[in-house]
Amino acid sequence: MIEDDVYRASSQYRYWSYTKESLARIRQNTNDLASERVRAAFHRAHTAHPAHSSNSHNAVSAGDADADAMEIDVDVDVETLTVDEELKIVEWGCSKIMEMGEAMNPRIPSHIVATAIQYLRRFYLTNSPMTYHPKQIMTCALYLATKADHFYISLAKFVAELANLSEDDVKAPEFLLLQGLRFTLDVRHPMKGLAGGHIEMNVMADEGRLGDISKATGSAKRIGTAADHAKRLLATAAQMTDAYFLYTPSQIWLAAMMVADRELVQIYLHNKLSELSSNEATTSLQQKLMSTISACASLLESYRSPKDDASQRKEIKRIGKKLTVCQNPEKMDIVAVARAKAAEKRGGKDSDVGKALKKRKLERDMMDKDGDVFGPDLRNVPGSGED
Amino acid sequence: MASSNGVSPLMPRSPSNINANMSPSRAKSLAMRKSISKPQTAPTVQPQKPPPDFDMAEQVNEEISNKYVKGKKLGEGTYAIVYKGHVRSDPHRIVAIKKFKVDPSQQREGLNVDTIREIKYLQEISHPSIVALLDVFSSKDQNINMVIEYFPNGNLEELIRDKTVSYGAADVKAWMGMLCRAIYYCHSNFILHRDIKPNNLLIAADGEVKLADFGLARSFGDPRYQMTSAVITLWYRPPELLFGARQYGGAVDIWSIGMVFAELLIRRPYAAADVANQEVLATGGGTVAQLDKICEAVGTPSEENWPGVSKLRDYFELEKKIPVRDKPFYMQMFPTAGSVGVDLLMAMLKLDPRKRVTAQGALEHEWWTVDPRPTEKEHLPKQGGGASKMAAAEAAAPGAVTDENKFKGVAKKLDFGASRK
Ligand SMILES: Nc1ncnc2c1ncn2[C@@H]1O[C@H](COP(=O)(O)OP(=O)(O)O)[C@@H](O)[C@H]1O
Repeated sequence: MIEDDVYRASSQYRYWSYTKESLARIRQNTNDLASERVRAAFHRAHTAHPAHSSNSHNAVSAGDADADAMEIDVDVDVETLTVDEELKIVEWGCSKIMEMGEAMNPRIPSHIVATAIQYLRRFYLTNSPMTYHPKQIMTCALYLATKADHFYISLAKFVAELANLSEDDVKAPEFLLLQGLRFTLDVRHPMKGLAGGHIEMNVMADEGRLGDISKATGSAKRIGTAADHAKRLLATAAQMTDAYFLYTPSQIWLAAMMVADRELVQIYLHNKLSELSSNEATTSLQQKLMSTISACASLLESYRSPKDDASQRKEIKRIGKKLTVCQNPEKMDIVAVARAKAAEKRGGKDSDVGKALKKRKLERDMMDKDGDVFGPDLRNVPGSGED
Repeated sequence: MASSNGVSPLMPRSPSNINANMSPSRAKSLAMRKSISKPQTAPTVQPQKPPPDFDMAEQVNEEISNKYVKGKKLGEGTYAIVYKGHVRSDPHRIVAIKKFKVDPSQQREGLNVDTIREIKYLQEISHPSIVALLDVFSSKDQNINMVIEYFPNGNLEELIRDKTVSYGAADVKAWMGMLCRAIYYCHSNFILHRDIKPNNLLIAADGEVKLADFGLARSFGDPRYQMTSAVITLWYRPPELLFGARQYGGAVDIWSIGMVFAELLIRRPYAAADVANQEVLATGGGTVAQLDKICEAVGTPSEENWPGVSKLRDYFELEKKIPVRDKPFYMQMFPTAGSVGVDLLMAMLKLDPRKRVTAQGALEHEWWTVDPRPTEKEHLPKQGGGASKMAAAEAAAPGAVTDENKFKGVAKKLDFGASRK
């Protein structure tokens, strides 16, 4: 209807659009692979045979070296996360991004927070929380979003706004994050479409093109109420579900409107489509549209914030604990790895690498002392949280 | 609906549906392709036998990286080293690989924003007159590599300066057409380029001129947010930015295009402040000097010719008072443009950004339909060849009797939708 060609050229459409099935499949693949690697890492740690490292190198080129790594035995019994558990922990990260955005001074605009949340969701399609904990990636995602979306805030200031966080913590995962994002940084949000749709609906109502919904029946108030409700959904449910992966921005905003006022969306679409042309094709198109938008609306409606749900909070705690056990021990410290790589690059002196790792170990120990399972809590800022 | 067979964003999407029934190998081969006409799903990496040393994300990256072979160094810029390269499966397909110098310990705030934005915008853009980003991948040493089209023929700035190259009005029209279509595409996608200049217009192997360097680009259209006025290279910077405007639109790029147009015609920058004195530049003196040049070249901005100008943040009363240059002035300055060409130039160089022609307006201008016809791109002059060009161009220029009908179709050919074939 509105943005067809333009949207089809977007990276969001080309790389980040899925069906439910393909989305489930890619998450399963990622989970399988990460679980296997966690087990392999534990195995290596347990047996502590340094010679093993040569195996993993061969594995890249020689096919049957895989067998070696695959047959990681059951004697190292780590319980890895399920896809569902991974998703929950990613969603926890998304909610933290939302809190950070609100707590920041100046407050980070909601569309940039939404970009950061989508970065995190996209990243975890091909990366597992067992490999990289969301707490390590989420601050980087938020900072990257401010850079990509032209909301300048210095790293020093950004870090100062958050408790227990160093500049390195924020920027070290950037490269990893960019790779996971396949170097696509543009996110198409439904908010702009909603704003336009709101205006258009008002115009149509004023001109008598929305049937019973007209000036006389208080159309402006009705449309305005629905748009407000939809706006809240776009900032919450649309961010915390798979909506962006499964639907286009127009479908999402129309679905959010539909949750608020089903009849309004029905009349709007009916009139809009029949104005464009009128034949059977239009009718069948309208039916298809309504069913797609309805499906998206159900998805948005199904979302419950853990804030209002004690059992969900308990569940996240449990997964968090489980994750501390099955976190890949070889990947845990992104900052140390980045520093070591930088040291290597500068001249590759082993002592540098060793120093970087040691220094980092000290920092971590200090951080762990006051951090809980989920890492540092955000500084409590008055007035944050609700809006 | 855009067209009867167009898929509405409101409809269930095709690529997802395609992928649902796709074999893993097919999905994988599709995932490797990066073509807009063939949307595909993201990393559908085969589940069987993954090398345990790679994460899914790393596997995807590895596959892209393996598509290319890196060759000799071509040059070095501020942020990047550029190498020649080719597609592994097809050595005749030459590419340029731009490797960003990323040293995490050197970057105070992580990857610099210019690089981030260049990648961001180029990933969304696909147009024959804009440099194509073919792929991006990371190398093991944590460097970012952008695979872009290879440009063997330098840029327009070099061509303009190279006095051994002759070109005529028809060539200028062809280049301007490419530039105008490129910027129309950007603006209709709500992207401002903000650094248009001959140096950023690269000449492709087939003669097409392509807009490059999106490091200063940004999206626009949301009046709630202020933008920086410190963009666009001084000589091509419009007066509203020199006066510190924080809210602006596509008109800033149009001014730059007007300056490029003028420069193509006279083969030297049209309004160029003396930037030899770095000290003057550093203290903001460049702005004053550039405005001074604009007064001479275009006229002095005032409330009469530009209502509201005195309200701009950094406005100051200009010393030189020169009335807006009239058509006879331009005709004398740019005789090769012809009367209609001068009209277009003047429309692009309106002081008041609201009166400046838009990208669409520029493409709808009469100039494209009058004599001479733009040169076919494969016949455009290049550096190191085509000395007889001048003679040919002059023969076809003023005075030559033209068959009106011959040019009727030209406007249609300059289709705005050149974005997609
Ligand atoms: N696509 C390309 N094809 C051929 N040569 C290129 C290409 N891109 C860059 N180069 C060469 O590499 C040099 C550095 O490029 P770049 O990093 O883009 O420069 P800058 O920082 O000046 O914009 C250029 O001066 C040019 O000689």
